[in-house]
Amino acid sequence: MSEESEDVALKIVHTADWHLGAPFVSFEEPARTTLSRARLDAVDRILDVAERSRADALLCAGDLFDVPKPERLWWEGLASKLAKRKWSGRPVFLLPGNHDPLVDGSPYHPAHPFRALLPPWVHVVDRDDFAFELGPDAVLYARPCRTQAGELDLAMRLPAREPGDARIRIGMVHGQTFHIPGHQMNFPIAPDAAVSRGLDYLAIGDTHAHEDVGDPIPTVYPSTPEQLTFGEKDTGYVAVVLFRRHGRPPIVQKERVAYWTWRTETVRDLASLRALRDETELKRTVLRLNVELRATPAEYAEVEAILAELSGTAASSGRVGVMQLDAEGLVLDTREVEQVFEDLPAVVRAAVRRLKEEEETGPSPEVARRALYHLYRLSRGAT
Amino acid sequence: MSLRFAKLRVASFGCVREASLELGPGLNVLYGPNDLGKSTLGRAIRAALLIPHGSSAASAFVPWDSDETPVVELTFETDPARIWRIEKRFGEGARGSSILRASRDGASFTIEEKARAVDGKVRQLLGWGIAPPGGKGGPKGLPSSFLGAVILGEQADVASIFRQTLAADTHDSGRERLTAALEAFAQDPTFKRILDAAQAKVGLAFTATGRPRRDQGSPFKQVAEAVTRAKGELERARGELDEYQQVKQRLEELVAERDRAAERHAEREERLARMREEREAARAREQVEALLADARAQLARRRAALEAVAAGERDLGALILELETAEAERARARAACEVAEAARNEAQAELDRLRSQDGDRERALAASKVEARRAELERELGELSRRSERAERALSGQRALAEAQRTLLEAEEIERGVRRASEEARARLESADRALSTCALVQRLLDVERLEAELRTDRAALDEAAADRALSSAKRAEVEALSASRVPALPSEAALEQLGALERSRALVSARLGGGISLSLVLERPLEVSAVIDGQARALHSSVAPGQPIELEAQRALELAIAGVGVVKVSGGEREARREAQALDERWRSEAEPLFAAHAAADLGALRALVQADRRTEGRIAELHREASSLEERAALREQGAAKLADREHELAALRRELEGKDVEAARGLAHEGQGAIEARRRRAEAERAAAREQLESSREREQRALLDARVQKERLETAARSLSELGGQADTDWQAELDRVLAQRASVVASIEEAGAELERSDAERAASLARAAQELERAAREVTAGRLGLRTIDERLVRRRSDRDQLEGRLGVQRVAAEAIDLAADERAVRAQEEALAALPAPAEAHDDASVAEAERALEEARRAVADNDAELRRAEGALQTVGGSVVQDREKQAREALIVTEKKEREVALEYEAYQLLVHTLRAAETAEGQHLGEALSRPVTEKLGRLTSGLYGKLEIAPTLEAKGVLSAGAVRELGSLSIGTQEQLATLLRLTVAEHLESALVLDDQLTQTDPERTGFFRSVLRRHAERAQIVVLTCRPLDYLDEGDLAAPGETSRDRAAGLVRAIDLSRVVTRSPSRRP
Repeated sequence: MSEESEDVALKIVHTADWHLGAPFVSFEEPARTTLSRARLDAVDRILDVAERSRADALLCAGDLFDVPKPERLWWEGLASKLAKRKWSGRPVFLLPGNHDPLVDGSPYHPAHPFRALLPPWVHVVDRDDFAFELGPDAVLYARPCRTQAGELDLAMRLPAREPGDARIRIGMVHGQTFHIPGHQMNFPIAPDAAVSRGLDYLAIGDTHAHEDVGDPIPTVYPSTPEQLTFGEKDTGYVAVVLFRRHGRPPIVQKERVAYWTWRTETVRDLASLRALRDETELKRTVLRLNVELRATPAEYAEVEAILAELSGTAASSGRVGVMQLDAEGLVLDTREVEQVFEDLPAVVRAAVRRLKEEEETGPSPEVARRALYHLYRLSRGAT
Repeated sequence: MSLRFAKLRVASFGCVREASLELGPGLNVLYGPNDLGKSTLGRAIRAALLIPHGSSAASAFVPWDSDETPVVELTFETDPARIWRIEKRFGEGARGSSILRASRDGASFTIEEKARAVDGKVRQLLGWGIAPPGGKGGPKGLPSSFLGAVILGEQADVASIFRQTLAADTHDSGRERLTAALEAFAQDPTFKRILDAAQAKVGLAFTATGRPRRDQGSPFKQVAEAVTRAKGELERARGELDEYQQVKQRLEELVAERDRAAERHAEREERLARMREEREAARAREQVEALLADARAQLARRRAALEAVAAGERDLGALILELETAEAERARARAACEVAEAARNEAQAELDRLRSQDGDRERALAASKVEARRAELERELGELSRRSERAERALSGQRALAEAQRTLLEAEEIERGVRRASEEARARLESADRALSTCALVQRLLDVERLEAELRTDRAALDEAAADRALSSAKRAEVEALSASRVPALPSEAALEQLGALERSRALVSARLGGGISLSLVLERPLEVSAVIDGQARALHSSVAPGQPIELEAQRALELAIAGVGVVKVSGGEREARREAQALDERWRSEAEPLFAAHAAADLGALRALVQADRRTEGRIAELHREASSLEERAALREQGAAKLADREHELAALRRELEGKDVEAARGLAHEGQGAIEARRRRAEAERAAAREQLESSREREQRALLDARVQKERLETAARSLSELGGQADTDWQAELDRVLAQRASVVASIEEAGAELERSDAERAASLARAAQELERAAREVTAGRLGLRTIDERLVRRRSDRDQLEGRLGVQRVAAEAIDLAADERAVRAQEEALAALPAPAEAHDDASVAEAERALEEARRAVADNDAELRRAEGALQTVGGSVVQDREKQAREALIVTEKKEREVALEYEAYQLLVHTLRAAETAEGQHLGEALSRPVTEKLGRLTSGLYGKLEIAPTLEAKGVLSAGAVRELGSLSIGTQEQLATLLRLTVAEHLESALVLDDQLTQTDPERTGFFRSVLRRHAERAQIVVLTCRPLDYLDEGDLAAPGETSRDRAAGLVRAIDLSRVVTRSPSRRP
């Protein structure tokens, strides 16, 4: 046992914002299903971290489900994953957030069958005065969201430290800190809440990026374990918190649990596209690819081939795990297009000339360009 | 896919009552005379294949002679072992039906389709470019297409095939079939592959008419549904977000409102406290001010006490002086009272005197004098009243007399006026009678003129009727002459038709006997030889030299008579045909030749000419009959019109007698004005006469009334004169002056009477006045005595009060004098100054507040407190509402839905672009093919041109055919000639070659309905060989009345046969006269 480990009085893993059942409506199948499944898969990795780090407790700070009343497969799946762990002495705390508030019909509700499936060491924060002794020297206070929106500062409703209380006091609520403008209606959390309540650590959830917004007491968003949309930053982590003895401040470490890496790329030349294709770590990438380039028919065909290689086809998997393609910026370069068709019969060349004329003078040049490309492909034997 | 017709059954279809025939696989020549119904069979095939049974176009198939439902059954084969049978009954509703049966062996059929589905299936099987029936834009009636026209072309306009175009097809199947059939030379393989692939893509997304498909498999459908779903999601999310934002905004407003309300509450609370402080300060000042006031009042009271002592001293002096004055005044009042008592005693004495008996006697004497005078005056007044009454009556009588005289004069004047009016009315009446007489005379003149004109008309009509009757007689004479010239016992039209049929049958049989007979005769010695060739005697050399061959050729029969040797008869044809020919000849000799002999006609044509001439004569006779009858009817009408001639003559003579002795000349001038003017003049005269009569009657009535009035007035006059004379006056007595005088006297008497009364009253009044004055004087004196005594008593009382006042004042003044000596005025003034200084030490409040204003401020504060409480409650409610809406959750959801919609819409645009591009590509490829590439026209032109060259021995070159297969022209002598400029025969030959070529490539049956009627025998022979070769690959059905254009004599069906097969079944001749039963005549 190292000196450091001896110095640690309590170790917890803090996670939040799982959003089980998120629909990913802007994706098509099968990507939609892939990404949905990934939400529940992440739970296994979080539990693994808790096991691996020998955490004394796992704190799940809200928005574990995407909606207040998720379908059976989600809460049943979660219960199943928890039940597989043979834990004792490592309680898990599930906190209702604003996406999955504690309402009638919620899985957190005492009467919900989800509760019956949970192992005894899984505790649902279903009381406003929730408190749990994490041993003789540590205690957890938590308060659930009961609605999807509210002005109540749940952190400020936690009990303040009594004089002479020297225990490690941990708070857990779901909400947004004041420094996020325009969201004061979503369970605001005062930045000094941890201080005013006499907490040593305030575990919060809601914002999907990993961030410690507290000073000097850590007030931490652990981030969503799997990114939910493009544009989110610093996601895919849990917080591993080490509470030290002698009143020293806790140490917060972020540990990656995400499988998917979300990425947005815009390629403006064929070389970049080729380079992207040649990357090796794309299988675990959710890629939004914007193609903005002008291509000759031959290049166009290569672009399409690369895109098919990246995204996959009905018959083959793509190099990219999940790809969302925006090819509206892909334009056929028709300036030298007639040369491409020189080897074809005169009647086909005549059709090329007509389409070229249609592109230059007709009402829908884009349609004409696409027709030229179709002609190119079909003339090369495509179907 | 090939096409071959197998069987056709037609019933009650147009002019065909019944027909049933089986067709061979090759050339089928269906022959029969004109009007047998050949073309109807062609129409029946078209109807079975193309026309829905309920179509309005089917109304043309209604049988001529009955209400039976037209029925067609057509059996055909598309591919080997794919045999179909269409059964159609044409009619609307339950009368019509369609069934398509299918068979593999041609024996057992199963139902494939029924009703409307039959036509869709058949059109699909045929692939002739005809869209399925029904639906918007679907073909109605008889559908047309290029291949339909080629394969089933009608007889009417052979060259119309040149104008047929694929562009008019309603479906691509025709083009596709032709393309497939002519593929080897129609399209480049690469081009075709591209086109097919693009077309396949277009077919996924667009209908045949180019509209986007919306069915379940359409790519547009899928993305459109996705977009709709995404829009729905976004709309829901936005709804939730709006709700959230509204609640949020409301909450923010309430928070701001809460801050404002709290601020108002604090302000009001502060103000109330200030007001309370100011009110306390004001109260302290008020207490000091009260003390100051008390001090000042004390000082004032002390000063007043001192002043009161001084004033008491002054009052006491004044009171003593007043007592002295009152004593003197009492002495004066006592003296005056005594004087008044003396005057009262004197007045009482005078009054007693006036009331004594002497006074009463004086008054009675004066009154009797006045009464006597008044009685005299009243008698005089009575006389004057009688006189005045008489004068008034006389004056009234005088006035009545004058009035009666004036009224009488007026009545007489009215009477004269009435008489003048009567005279005037009589004159008007006479004038109107004269005008009426003139009008009657003029009317008579006009009647005479009218009758004279009518008489002239009647006489002319009689003349014309006589002319009509003469002309009618002439026409009837012509009828008799023509009737006499007609040929008796001519055969009827029907008999002629039968003879014609007999002649055609003989010709047909004769044709069957034909085959050519060639005879070569070589004599060993000279002999006389004569020959009859095909029934025509032919002169040979009277003596034929030995060894020299005599070549004789006949078609059907050859008879050679060799003098001294015998007669050689050679006949062509089969025995059956010859027997049939002999029977027909026998019929000819028994039925036709006697008629020819009877009417000296050389042949049937001459007999027809005779019959036609006789029909014309018969027509002329009927026409003459009609004309004569018409003339006689017209003459009768004219005579009928002139029947009143005698009556009119009598009437005219009577009128002329009436006019004798009348001034006709003057009236004649008026008669020129015309009937209308005379009528108007007569009406005016009658109106004038009626008015004059009315005036006359009115005048007579008024005259009677005027006479009656005059009599009444005279009686009144006499009565008035009598009354006046009874009053005794003269007629010229001035009764008015008399009345005036009497009335003046009467007034004077009345005045005297009144004066006497007044005098008596004056006397009484004077005595009463004296009494009153005495009483008044006594009363006045008594009042003065009383007043004097009262004044004396008053003065005494005042003296007593003043003396008491003096005593009281003196006592009070003594007390005050003692108190005044104890007053310290300086001390009181110091006390006042001390309170003034204390008041100055208290600051005055900025604003005065009474209890009401403080209470008002308290109410305002309470109101502000309630507002804060209300706002807090509203805030809590809003916070509660906030908890029921989504918060950032709905923001997230709305963002996701928005992104999903963007992605889906991009996908939709991509799909649209993809398939629109394919559509454009197909259109462009077709356009390029049409304009640039090898096309169907070129492909079709080549074999047709080749056949045309052989037909015309190279006279014509390439046939120009457009990509859509319209035939444009033909190359001739280095220039392209329009097809319309070719001869009719050449056009029909070219059209037939074109149709043959298409059918050949499609391996399809072809129906030719008398297509070569204008073709010369040489080219007919060419077509005969072409058709036979074609029949080896595809079926041809020829409908013709000239079978020998297509067949040899021996190919025709023998008598008793309905058909005959030759060339191993490749050629079949069908005698339609044996398989078609025709309706007798067209329904009117």
